[in-house]
Amino acid sequence: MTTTIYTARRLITMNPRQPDAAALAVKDGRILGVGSVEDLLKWGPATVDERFKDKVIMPGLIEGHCHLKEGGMWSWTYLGWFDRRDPSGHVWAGLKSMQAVVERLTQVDAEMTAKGIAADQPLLAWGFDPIYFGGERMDVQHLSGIARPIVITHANGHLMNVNTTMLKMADITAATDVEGVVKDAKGEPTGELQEPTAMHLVIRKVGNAGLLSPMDDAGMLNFSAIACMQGVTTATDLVNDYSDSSYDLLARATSRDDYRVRLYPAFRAFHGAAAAAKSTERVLDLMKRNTEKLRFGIIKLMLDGSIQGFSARMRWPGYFNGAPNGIWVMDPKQYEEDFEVYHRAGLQVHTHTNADQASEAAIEAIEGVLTRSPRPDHRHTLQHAQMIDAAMFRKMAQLGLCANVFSNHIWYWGDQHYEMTMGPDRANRMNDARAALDCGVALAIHSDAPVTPLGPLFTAWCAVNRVTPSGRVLGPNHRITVPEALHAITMGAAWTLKADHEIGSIEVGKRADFAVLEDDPLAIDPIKLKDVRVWGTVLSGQVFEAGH
Amino acid sequence: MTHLPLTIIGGFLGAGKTTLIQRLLTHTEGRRIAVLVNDFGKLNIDAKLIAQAGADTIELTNGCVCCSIGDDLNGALIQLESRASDFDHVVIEASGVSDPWKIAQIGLLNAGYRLDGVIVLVDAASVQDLLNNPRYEDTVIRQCRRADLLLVNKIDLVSDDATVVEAKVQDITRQLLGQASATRVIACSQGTVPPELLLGSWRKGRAAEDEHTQSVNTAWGDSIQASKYADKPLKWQSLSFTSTSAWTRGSFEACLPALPDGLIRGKAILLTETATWFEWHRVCGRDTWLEHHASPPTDQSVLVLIGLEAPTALDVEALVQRGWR
Repeated sequence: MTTTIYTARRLITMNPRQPDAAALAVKDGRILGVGSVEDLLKWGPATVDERFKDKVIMPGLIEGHCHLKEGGMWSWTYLGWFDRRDPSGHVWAGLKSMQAVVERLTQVDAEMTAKGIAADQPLLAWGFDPIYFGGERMDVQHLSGIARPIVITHANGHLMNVNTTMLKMADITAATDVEGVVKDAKGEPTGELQEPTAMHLVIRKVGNAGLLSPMDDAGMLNFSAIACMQGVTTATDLVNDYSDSSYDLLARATSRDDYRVRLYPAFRAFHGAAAAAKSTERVLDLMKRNTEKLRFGIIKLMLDGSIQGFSARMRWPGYFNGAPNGIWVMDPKQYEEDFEVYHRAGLQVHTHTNADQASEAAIEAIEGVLTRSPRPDHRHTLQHAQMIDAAMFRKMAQLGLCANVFSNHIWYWGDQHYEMTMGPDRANRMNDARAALDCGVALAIHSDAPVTPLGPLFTAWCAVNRVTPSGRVLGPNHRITVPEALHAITMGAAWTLKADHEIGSIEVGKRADFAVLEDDPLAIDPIKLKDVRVWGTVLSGQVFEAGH
Repeated sequence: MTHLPLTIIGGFLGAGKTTLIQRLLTHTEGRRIAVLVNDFGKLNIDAKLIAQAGADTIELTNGCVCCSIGDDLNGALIQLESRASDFDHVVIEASGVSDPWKIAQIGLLNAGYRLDGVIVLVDAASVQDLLNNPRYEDTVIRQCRRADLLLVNKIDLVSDDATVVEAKVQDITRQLLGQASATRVIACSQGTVPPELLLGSWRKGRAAEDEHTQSVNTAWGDSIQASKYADKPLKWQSLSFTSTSAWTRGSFEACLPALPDGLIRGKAILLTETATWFEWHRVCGRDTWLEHHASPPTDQSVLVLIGLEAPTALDVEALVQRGWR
């Protein structure tokens, strides 16, 4: 194989012993050397490729908590409040009012009609988040101008709005006496459906839509395209059922030479999944089929719900607005039992804990497991970890636990947390990457895409600046530096995937995975970190220009 | 449209859900029950009873089937719906921390199922530890709050002294349900509660056989005796009446105030002047009405009442005065 030497305007290696260099050499998909062109040529004949000489090369970015659905949402209409880029690179403008939402739906309906799509075929939309509309809720009146059945799933996945046509199709009337079918003062359904049971009536008719729909080949490719646009070369699919069909889908996509991202699917081991011992066998079995681009083996457990949905488990003093405490998705006792089975099998467990009572229960359970069954270098990780305080981080450091913090929340829901869920003081210390690092906890930060858009540089910007849409800075003392944030989206995330020996930095022997940037994230004003332009990526030495 | 009766069994890890379900599966008296459980591995079914065991389903020789819920309860229910004629009852085991009332909503959708009852178990010996733990307190109260029937289980672990047990059960009930609650409470151990109380009288045509007469049953006596709380064996009674009147929903509702308070279950099949007929169910104070237009299962209207002591407390004269004839 030939050797290619790439020069760059700046090379950010994320290797503190050799933080920068003039060039790097790639052979057989791996990094042959890092240094001056002259030194690299001593390896023998090589092509010096200068296409990146005006660009910045850094290790390929790693998203330690996202879902492939980020690529699977684009068959439906996006209705979110924030701008969002689709896999083709088109940016869908955020919709800032109910009127704007209705206008987009009206337009899409007309386009569907123009394309000859029958009037009884539903218009499915996603990402709707009326939390930003100052209390205004959508009802059938808003949608009265559209005859086609409409199904709108909310950004949080727990709610749905439908129009009158869809209500009729689903046989939802004033007589439907089920919690979750919201009714107006006259007892008529408003079209808002809350939680799975009420939504079930619609799903029975239109099939699983939005977040609930199964992943397909097109979605897999969309995900690859989005990852490349964001400089991501490794990503997780943090809830996967590890079924034969899911395996086939993943294997089919990642075996393509032009698939632009390594995938780490995590086994969904919560919420009524099969018994832990049996699941362990399945996971170990699939691990035998691991490839360079597809890695099975992470176990995902889940303890609580979401903070903005008031379903996360809070410690005293609870939710700021007085909402009752959230729900356990898994009994902490059952969690400890199941955790121990996976742990003893040598597997690594990532646990969803949003609020602090859940994090505390997880830490306590894991301490019990580790006391009974010590295991070096387990790297069990708490995911989201939004309300973990310094005392818990110190304990995590002692236990060898990692944290993957949901920094995007600071921007996307920071104002709501300040005003409604947490109140000022606790909102100011949410997603405390600073405390994690200060306490010696290995840190990654994440988007949870498609909950928020994939984009590690944006996530880094959130952790560095902690600003909200209203202009607040949530807890200036909880900010981290740009180098720390870049570490979190490369080596930090690699560590939580037990992949830091292969990816996450530019060092000899590692995979030739790079993010190629137009701007220098270390030189740019930190408040502009999110605006750093991504040219594309290199994966195992193969160059991919974003959008091409 | 058929409406399979749906019962949800809730309660924390260790409250005795699995044991109760095993009892239901092995004391069916002919009922064909489909049970949806979270964790297959926990069920311990006698090998002689297993007709066929697959990855997600166990078919029993007595016509019952046991399915793992997997990730998708709604999907599992849609699948079962397509086999509705194979079963008389569907039982869902709620996960230890879920709110069974949320799952019960499926039975209120008028889509293939009729919510029969929400049964929640608590471990008499340890539920108060849960109530003293801020991690669990609200969850356990939330589970019990909308239960039709609360089974205070494992009383054999509390004490051999019936007075002590009685006081403990009252204590637990007050803590879980507060003062005024529609939930009925039964104390038991090993989940030994007659299936008639849990799932209702079921035998097709049976009510029609018991014409106008009262029948007092003490079935399951053996298993009840086995509990240490057995100074007072759990006697259940059922009472059934037939009627040749042409009913309306209103004329039957006028009779309801005559029913005794302690009733656990009531069921009526009410024929009208037309081809329409009604089904009425009362489970621990919660009433459900269904309207049918196909041919009724009996040629007379029928009323069946089931309870511990309550049916005999029925003032039959009052019932007749209010219109039952």
